[in-house]
Amino acid sequence: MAGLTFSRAAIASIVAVALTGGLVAESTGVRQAGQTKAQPIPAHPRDLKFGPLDYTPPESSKHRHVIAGVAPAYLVEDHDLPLVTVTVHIRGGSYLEPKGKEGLAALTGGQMRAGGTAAMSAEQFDEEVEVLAANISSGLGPTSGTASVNFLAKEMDRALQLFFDMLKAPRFQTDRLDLARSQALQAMERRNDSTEDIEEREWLRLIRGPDHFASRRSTKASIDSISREDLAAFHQQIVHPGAFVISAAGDFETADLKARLERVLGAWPAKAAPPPPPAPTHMPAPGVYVVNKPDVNQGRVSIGHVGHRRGDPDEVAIEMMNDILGGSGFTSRITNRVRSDEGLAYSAGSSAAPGVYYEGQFVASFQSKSATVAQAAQIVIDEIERMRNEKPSADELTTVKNYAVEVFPRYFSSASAIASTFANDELTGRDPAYWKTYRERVRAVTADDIQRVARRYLQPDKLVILAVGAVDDMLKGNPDKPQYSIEKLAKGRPITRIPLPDPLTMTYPTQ
Amino acid sequence: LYRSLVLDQKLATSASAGQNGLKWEGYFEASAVARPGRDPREVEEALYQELEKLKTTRVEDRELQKVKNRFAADTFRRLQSNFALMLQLLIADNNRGWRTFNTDPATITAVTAEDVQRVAQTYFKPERRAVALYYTKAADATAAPDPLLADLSDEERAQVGQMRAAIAQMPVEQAKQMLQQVSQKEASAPPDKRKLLGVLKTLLQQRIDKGGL
Repeated sequence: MAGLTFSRAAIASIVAVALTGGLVAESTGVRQAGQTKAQPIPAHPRDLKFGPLDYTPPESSKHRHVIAGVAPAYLVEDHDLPLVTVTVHIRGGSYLEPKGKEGLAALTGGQMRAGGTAAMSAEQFDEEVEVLAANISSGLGPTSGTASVNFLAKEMDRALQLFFDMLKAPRFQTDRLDLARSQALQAMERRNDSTEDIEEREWLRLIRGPDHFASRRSTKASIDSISREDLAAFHQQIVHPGAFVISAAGDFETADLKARLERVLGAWPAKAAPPPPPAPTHMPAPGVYVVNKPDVNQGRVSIGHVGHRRGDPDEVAIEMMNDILGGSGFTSRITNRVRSDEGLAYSAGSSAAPGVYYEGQFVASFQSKSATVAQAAQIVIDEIERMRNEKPSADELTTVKNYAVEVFPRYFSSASAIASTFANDELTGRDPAYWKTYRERVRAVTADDIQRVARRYLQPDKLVILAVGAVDDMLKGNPDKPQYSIEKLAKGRPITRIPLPDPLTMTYPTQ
Repeated sequence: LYRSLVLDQKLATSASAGQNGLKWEGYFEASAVARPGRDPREVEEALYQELEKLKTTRVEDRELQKVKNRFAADTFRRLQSNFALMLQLLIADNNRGWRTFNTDPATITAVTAEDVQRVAQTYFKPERRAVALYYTKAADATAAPDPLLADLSDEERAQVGQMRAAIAQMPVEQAKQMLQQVSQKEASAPPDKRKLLGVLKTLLQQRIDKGGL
């Protein structure tokens, strides 16, 4: 939204991007699928012929190397364009922040790129990147981080030098840090402004518990206390080859790039990788929770519970089950009922992502005008029940299975997609055989399996229901549809009102 | 321009230049928005000085290389998917024929500092120039300031001015469509843009309320 000069063309392009997002991936998928055999250009697109999809995913072992004895690297050559991308994935993140230094990981990640290097001031570094026309970025999230450089192949020497200087010896220039700190404080002041931010924060507190790292938030005191030395120490602690997984794609020779990486990483003492992120110890308390934001006319609602882990034997069946329930847009039940049939929300759906380090979550969510929040929530809960009580139709099952099989090549649609898929798998410890057998496992799912995993996975009596919006209006509901109410959703249990915390201290007023 | 007019001289809030090569006669355009309190004529003069510099001093090799690198890298980055490739071909075909798509990179690599100076001398001449100065009407001293703009920065006010003009000419249907899109974007917009989006929504609603075509 930077320029904000909304010309007709700008609107057209917004719409174009929105509408064609899918096409891009599909066309590249087809190209990868080995169907580039030229056919004569037909007079009309309807005359294009498509053969059956015959696709073999790439082998991760063919691209895997180990650099300096410690860092796995996936190197995928692609000589179509003279560009190279090198990404270093870093194990570690905000879960390693010392108590009282919340915000340290995000500042460290951002300031690696922004704050210059031992050899260059931040301004010199920016200028040098600009001259090379390179793009360099860095960041640290909750459980992992990335640093990435994209450059013209002819500038490999200088671009890699800059990139690894940054990664290894960032300067953390204090004026840039001061700026980032003041931006963080500004953002903090707006913490309670948007219902989206409130919903995300309170949902994590309800599901993971207030003390788990996933729901910890920075405060003015924690940001104020973070010094340049803290950044340098945190960087020392987590940024080293023992914590790296590398992915690279583009116009390079594998042996040459590998030798370059060996030189840099070989001269860089590796430590042990950090411990994995801790699992939450919290047991979510089922029930209805509301946060009052009287100045909005739409409520945001999340409904869900703790889910499953990656590697669960029912992983693929759960994925198919959720696609039928709410995970596949307009063909899924929640979207159909809440949006298409009743017109209560623009977007409504569900996700059942498996957790990597501990159990993931099942969460259905939507936004609806205050008066119809209860009705939409009831529909979602009814659909969760129906998923358990009835087998899906043959059509529904075929649709989601076909979709999963047909879009499968997207994970490998380009050299950089291949490299980053494999690098992320390595980082998160996914079985390398996962992709090889994925489509077989999808095809094997039966309607009985769907109902079986729905009964095992979906737990109506454990649902946590969070609604953020104008509470009085949401409770009042729609006078024309008295059969729906938030009270009824609570099934006789008290509705818990969560107050807004002080944005700078994150202390919640006692009521 | 930005460095000179906005950062160094602090004359303007924005400054940029672009060339619009069309199939027949295109044009080169340099523009800047005066900082509140500065006379647009000062800004005009500063723009001329920058154009003059291109005519009289040879651009530094490093600066030229930087521009070429950026051009090359951005061109390649735009070709990374089939869809983007299709768009770029369409755009190239509409300009100087789709074949320029393949020949442009070599042409651009071959540009020298002397070339830059030569074209500046060829095209930047007063007799080829059209100049427009846009002034905002002096505010009525007795009128209250527009409450709609109260919370916005100077730069945002200038943007609202442009949006206002565009929205006034917009068909109602398009305004409705855009209002819907802006409303959807609003939730995910960075907090410092929300006020501006709010104003944009008000303007669109006013356009819709006014009716007509």
